[in-house]
Amino acid sequence: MKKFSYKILVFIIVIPILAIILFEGTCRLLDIPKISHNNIKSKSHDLIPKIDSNTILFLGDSRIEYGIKPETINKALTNNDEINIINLALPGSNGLDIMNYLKINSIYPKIIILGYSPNYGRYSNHSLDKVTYSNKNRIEEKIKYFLSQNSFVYDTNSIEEYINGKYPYFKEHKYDNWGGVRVTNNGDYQKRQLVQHNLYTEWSNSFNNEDLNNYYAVISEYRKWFEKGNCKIFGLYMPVSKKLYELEKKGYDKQYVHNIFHNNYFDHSAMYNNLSNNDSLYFYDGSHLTPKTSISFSEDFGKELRARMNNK
Amino acid sequence: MLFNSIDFAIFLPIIFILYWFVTNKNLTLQNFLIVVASYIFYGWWDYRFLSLILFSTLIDYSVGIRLANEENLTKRKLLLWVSILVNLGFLGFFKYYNFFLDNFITAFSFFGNTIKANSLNIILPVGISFYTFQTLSYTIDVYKKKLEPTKNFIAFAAFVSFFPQLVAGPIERATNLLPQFYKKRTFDYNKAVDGLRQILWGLFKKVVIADNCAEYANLIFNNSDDYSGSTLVLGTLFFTFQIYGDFSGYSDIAIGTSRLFGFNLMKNFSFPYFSRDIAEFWRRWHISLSTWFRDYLYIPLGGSHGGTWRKVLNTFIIFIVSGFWHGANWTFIVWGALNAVYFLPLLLLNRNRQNLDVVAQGKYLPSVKEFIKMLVTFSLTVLAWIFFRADSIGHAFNILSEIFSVSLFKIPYYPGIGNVIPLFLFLILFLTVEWLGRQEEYAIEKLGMDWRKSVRYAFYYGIILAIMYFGGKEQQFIYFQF
Repeated sequence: MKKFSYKILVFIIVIPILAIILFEGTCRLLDIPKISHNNIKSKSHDLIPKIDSNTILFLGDSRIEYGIKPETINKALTNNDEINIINLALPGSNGLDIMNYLKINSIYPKIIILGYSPNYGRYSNHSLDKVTYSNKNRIEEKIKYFLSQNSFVYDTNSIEEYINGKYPYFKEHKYDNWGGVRVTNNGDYQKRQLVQHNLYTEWSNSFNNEDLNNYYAVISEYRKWFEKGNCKIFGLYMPVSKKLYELEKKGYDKQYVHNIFHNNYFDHSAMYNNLSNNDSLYFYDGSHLTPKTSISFSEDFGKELRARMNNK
Repeated sequence: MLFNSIDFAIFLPIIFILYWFVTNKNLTLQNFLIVVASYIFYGWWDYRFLSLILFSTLIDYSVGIRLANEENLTKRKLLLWVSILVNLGFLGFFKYYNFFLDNFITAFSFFGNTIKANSLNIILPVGISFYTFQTLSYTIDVYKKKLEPTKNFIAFAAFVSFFPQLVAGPIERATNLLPQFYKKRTFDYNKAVDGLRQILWGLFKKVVIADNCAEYANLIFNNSDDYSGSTLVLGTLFFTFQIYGDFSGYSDIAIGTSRLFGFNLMKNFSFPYFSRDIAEFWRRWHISLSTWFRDYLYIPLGGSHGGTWRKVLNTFIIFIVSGFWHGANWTFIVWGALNAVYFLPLLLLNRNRQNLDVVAQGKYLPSVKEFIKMLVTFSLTVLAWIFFRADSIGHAFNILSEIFSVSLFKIPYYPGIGNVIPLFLFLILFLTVEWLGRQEEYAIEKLGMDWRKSVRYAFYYGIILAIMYFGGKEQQFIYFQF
């Protein structure tokens, strides 16, 4: 047994730990840039259990995630402690999976503010309605996220990209307790906005009205469902730069969208559409607001929301 | 709890330490630890089904004790039937109730009658077919006086619920496994290292081979209408390796884990895809089930004795029952019947026992004749797997009709086919290692024993890295559903 324990210790613990230390150390010595990842699963595990009838819940894609600061909104709502503001918007998400989870579990937030743009019909989401939200799974996801952010052994993409000559744009994602995120980039703005421009061009070329109509139909159904539980749904179209605005507005019927949300709709799509894609003061890439702009946008939006809540 | 989960990676060392360092001086305590560990292992899926195992254990233990004190044949038979009815009753209810009901309704509607009956929303308890057969082997052997009934309830409970093989076998015979619970186990270094090696190979088969093949097999079978015959052949080949990697991988992990605790389980797979005829294939595939049916069904029915028609009938019975054991669907029955059709000519020509040795024993390569035989047997097996994997008989025939059409000669295509090269390389490596180790208990049992230690370790670490970085999306073990 002594020999077995010793060998197990060496084979399963000592050698792998030494190998990991050596590998991680080499990667750092070579100064391989580490990709900073989005915190999709871990964030959902943190925030979904916090949703209750006092929640103002933001859903949608990364434009909402980066552009909405829950703490700033709360200040604009005059520091209302009874209300908890959660930004559960996630990259590549239109929020329907989370709405479905809430529906299945009969959870009715106070307000859902659902991000919207004509691209939302094509998002495939993250199947968050099929996840079991438990402490065990939350801890597991937190560990996975920590490793993906800090370990080259766990997250080999950083090495693959380095070998392929790619350089990660995002250097850091710093999440607050309510889902707001502050992102730091490497400053290569020109390259990044070009990537985003190409993406929007591709979306524009392959725009499919059927996807969008299906999406409209599902939102309408959910709106009715949540209204039964006294939960209002608002739509929110985040600002984009001029070029991207032009590319994505194909198929966008403003009046139709207003009808779907029963006119509870905040359309800020054209807010900065006088700005070019190159305006790095306002945008990371023409579509995601910078930290500074997202705070000022959240302040204004919070006031707008307060006025809307007081009116209704 | 899945073998390929973090939960099990934590669970196993804890139980191992408690087993060898805390309870090692008291056999009853050690057996009790196995029972507790096994119930935790099983309850991890759904604790409600623990009551089924407990009830089965109590019934069979009591029946065994009563059989020991009963000489009256009628009463002995009655006791045996109690055990059979309780065990098969559970199995029938949980696994076959809806199947029989649906077919009953269909049969009546065929004659113009309609019956109103609702099928039940029944969850199939994981591994029920496995532990049911294992406990049945105990009562039948006690009834036949091949085995002394146990008076040690803890040992019996440990035998029924022994966690390494509880949910997907090997289906152990009481005559082999139960006596091991009576004897004091001493730690055997070589056995434990061997067990770890077998676990490693089992994980490779499951995580790298089966789970990766599963992704493509599922994609192709679930959208079979969209694909050409050649792509469907490719999908069937993926499934062929998926089911082998999945099930034999599970058996390897189960056997290896048992060895860590000082137990010897029976071999369940013996390189079946290198078989030279279907009879050999069935001696090498899911051995614990095949021999179970042979001992408890085929031989009592008369086996291969009697006239030709009796042989044909018995062969069909055993293969169809074996198919039906896999699941309540006509696809499994047809799969079983098809294998009976493959097997019958060999039986009737008395050639079913001509390949009892290992193919190309002592040689690196098979002869051309052996290779052709292996290829034919493999092709027949692949063809039969279509029924096993298809959702319905209609689905299977649609796939077959597409395969046997001109689209068979198209270049295979499905989304993601460009990413398949690493999997092909792993399949080649896997088949090579399996071929080299085909004379052993499992493929890497002796592989590299004459290499330098550093090279051998590098090989093992290579397997570990492949498991970590090339593993497919985590999939449930296929045989859990049976």
